[in-house]
Amino acid sequence: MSVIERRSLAEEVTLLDLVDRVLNKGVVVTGDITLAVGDVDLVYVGLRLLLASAATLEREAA
Amino acid sequence: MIYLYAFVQGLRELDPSLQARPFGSLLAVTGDDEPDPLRFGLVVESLREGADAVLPVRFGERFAGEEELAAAIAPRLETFERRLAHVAGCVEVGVRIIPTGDAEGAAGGAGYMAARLREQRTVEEIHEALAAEARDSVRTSRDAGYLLERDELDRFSLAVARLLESHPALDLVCTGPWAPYSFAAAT
Repeated sequence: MSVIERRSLAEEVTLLDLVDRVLNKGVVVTGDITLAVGDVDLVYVGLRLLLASAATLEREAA
Repeated sequence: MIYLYAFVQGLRELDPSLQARPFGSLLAVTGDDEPDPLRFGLVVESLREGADAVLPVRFGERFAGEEELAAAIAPRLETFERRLAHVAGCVEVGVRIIPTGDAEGAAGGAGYMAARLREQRTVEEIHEALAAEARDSVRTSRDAGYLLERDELDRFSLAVARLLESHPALDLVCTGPWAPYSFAAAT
């Protein structure tokens, strides 16, 4: 098994990584970013869920 | 409303709900439906597989219409072309170094500081070793991103495996391959 294939061991971490990348990285075109204006609640509920799952993972690791 | 996902070159396949609009030597991949961050990320990752080069755009770029999109892209087109050339044919691998917990268990302030220092040196060492294997690299305190050509993934995996062997007290979380997000920011 290659090291990179180990990602399946921590799917939640990977999901959090994905969203972290999407929200914080990538090239800026307008410099005026609007986070999902039509659907603010959904975005933030989604993020809280992801953060919660990362916290769960940390608890389990401790 | 037009939502912008990424710039690509050498596009082989595209989800039928998306469009590819030409700007200079690039294609801007857009959609009409508002994505959530997860959907957005999955689209960009599918482009990593469906195109030769992909430059991810930060989530949240939205335009009232084609004119607004073109007006926003035109003044910085050369920058985007340059960044895309930098990451062409490449993927990103993320490496997070998990601390050993030595510092937390150390007795006294001086012991704690010494353990933290050792930890920091190890992180530094590992980053330097991995950066030497990559085309480019970026890092924050414990997270790092490495830009690799697609066919360098196996070699990089081996380098990570070797580091794990030589640092038995250390854990590394390796994620990817990703679209090269960390190398997209225009500079």
